[in-house]
Amino acid sequence: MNKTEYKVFLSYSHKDQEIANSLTKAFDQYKISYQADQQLRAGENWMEEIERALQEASVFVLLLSPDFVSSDWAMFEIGHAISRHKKDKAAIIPVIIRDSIVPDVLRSYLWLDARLMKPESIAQELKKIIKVKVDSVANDSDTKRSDRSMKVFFSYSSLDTTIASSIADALRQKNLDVFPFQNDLRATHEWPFKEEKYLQTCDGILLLWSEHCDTPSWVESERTYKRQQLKTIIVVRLDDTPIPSLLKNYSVIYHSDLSVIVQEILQGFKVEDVNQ
Amino acid sequence: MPSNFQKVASYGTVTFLSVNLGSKPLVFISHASTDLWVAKQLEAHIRSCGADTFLDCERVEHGDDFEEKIIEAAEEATELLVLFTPTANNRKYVWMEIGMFLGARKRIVAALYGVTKEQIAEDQFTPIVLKKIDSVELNEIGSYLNQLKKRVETWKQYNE
Repeated sequence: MNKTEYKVFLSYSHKDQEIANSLTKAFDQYKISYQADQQLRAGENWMEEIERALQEASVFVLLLSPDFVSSDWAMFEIGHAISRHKKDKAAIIPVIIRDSIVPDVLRSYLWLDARLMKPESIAQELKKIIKVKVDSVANDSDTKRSDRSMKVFFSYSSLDTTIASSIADALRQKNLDVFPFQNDLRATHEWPFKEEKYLQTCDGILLLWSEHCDTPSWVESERTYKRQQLKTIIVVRLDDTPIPSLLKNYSVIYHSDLSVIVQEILQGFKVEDVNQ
Repeated sequence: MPSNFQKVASYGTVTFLSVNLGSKPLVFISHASTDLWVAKQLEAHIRSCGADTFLDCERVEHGDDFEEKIIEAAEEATELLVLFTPTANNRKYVWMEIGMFLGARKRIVAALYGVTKEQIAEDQFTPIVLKKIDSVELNEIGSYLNQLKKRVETWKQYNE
């Protein structure tokens, strides 16, 4: 991906300056074009600089920490990012850098759990996710829209965020309404209201299975999913990790090609491909 | 010809144009929950000007996805009126709503109650963005309402 194709706005709390500095160095290394919130504050007309950067950004990377999510300024930038996402399809990528809740308004975006990742790995992962997002927006211009989209509850491990992001974006291009849920964060996000509500109102459930999935938590999740009896449940296997017997009753997709996976998901949910 | 003008008819050398002025004014009222009573008074005045309003407590029903409703309403609204009080300054959703309207480049006006323009200008903890927003003290809200009424009348002239 060319460095000039997109612009990242990096939003973070000044208390996370050290992490942000390491991350921006890694951004340079991976040729990710960015403007960092706190760095823009050095100049005399910093407010204008930030406003311009917020308007120009095509990707918003939000570094989530307790200090960030409790800040008024962060909420202001989150609001700005959401509005740009709605208006111009700008991408929003929340990145958890310290133990933190994900604000309710960001729950529908796929976030990256980077608490245990090194800055280089975060930058590498972000570069992949950004590529998926930018390509997705470029391909989206021809997409036909129907009045009502199928609602899919999408459960995956935080360590599979990149592939999950590719699948979610591809399904959104096909006019599916995808609600992401990182199932390994259950310990800190115990079926919050928003997730529970979406699960109850969704039309189908999609599960990614890989070596990163923790079987005991899946057993518990499966009980919850099973209560949604009338809904189609589809499992996508990402690797050779054996599927727990309780998941074998569902449709299982096992393929390396993303377009094939997406087509099979659409067939499984009996959704017409809007682009054909 | 500007894109919001449309040719309706031509008679000889005379051409009739209609102008699309967009949506009917819909004012999103942003407030802290503790300021609800004042927000409702403002809403009544805004409605008497002929504009539509969005006040979260009245439009978001029990069981609704609150954030989604707020985001949808912000998309539909044509302008934001922030009831800015000492309580609102600490309310995160107010800041998110200001961010959403600035991002969408829509009109934002702050109605100040319990704080003055001077206090805001001097308070180093008030984000500078608020210092740049057009603000009016609540006692002088009439000037905003008069302008709103004119916007509604202009909209009606071309759309009704």
